[in-house]
Amino acid sequence: MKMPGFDISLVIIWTLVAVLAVLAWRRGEGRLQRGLRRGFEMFLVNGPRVVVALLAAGFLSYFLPKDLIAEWLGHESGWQGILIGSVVGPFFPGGPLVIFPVLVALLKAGAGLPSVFAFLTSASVWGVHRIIMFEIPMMGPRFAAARMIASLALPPLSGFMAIIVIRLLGAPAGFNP
Amino acid sequence: MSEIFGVPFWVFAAISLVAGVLTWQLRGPETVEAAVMGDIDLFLFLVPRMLGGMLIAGLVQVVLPPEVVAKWVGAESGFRGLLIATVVGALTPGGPMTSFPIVVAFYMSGADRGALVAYITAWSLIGFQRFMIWELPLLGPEIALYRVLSVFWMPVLAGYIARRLTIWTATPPSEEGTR
Repeated sequence: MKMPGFDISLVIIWTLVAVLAVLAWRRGEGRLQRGLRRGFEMFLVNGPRVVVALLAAGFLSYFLPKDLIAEWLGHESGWQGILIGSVVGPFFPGGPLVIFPVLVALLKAGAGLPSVFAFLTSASVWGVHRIIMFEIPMMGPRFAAARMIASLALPPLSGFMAIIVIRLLGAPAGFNP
Repeated sequence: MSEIFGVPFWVFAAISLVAGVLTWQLRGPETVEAAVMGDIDLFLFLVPRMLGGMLIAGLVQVVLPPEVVAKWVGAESGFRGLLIATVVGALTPGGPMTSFPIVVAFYMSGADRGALVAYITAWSLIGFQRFMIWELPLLGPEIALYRVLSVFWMPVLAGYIARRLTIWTATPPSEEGTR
């Protein structure tokens, strides 16, 4: 069991908070208070959602077919897992609140980094609901189409890059927490 | 603050309730207990990280307001334009409601189309806020680092490809009213 653990990510995060707080304070005009209030509000709004989202992901991970996920998305699945991750990603609506709990559940169930990275990239650059709700209305269908074509290769490339990075640096020791 | 317990909260609450009942029925109460205990550990781990991440996001917005950011990309072009757009996109906080108005502002201030694509790709793929709030705490520093190493160069590639495509020419609908 990993307790709240004091690790590098915690140090980085709070060092950045301190640096930005000093910057905001030095620029005055109530910036520090405004920034901190915005941050706290975001935390209050998102915190409870994250709690229930992760609870749901935790329960659902018991029902994910682990053998299938390991076989289809595991590190050994190669280009197949990358392809599946790339194709499925765009259809997860709701932004990081949905995507990251899904990623955690997939990793717990034995999915490998190549397919998970492909999934995250395709959910990010090809997210269907964002394209329909924001990009097409604000930038027009041609812009959206061109951007989608320009980023067509990115999801599978992310998967193959994961394989290369793992080959160079070794497999990560496991995921946190 | 009625947003706190808005629709997203209740949707996820309903899903976790149903999934919890199913787990209880099919796997027994011990599994439910194990899952909830695991989640409590996870929350203890997450809270100091998410709070910090969100304070960063809030402070970045007051230190680097979007108007300032828009000036940087302006009419910048060439490879340097793609690089600047990538950095600025990664630094832009908030969801699509913040970033797309900035894209329109960039377009109006004459930003090259490749830069716009690099900006959107960077914001969605390597956004600093998402990295701090979600990726680093949930996936851990190692996996987060592996992912950044895998994808950090992609916004520049997407911008470069977009620049070469010839299907641009239409005016964005949001700009038509201003001409």
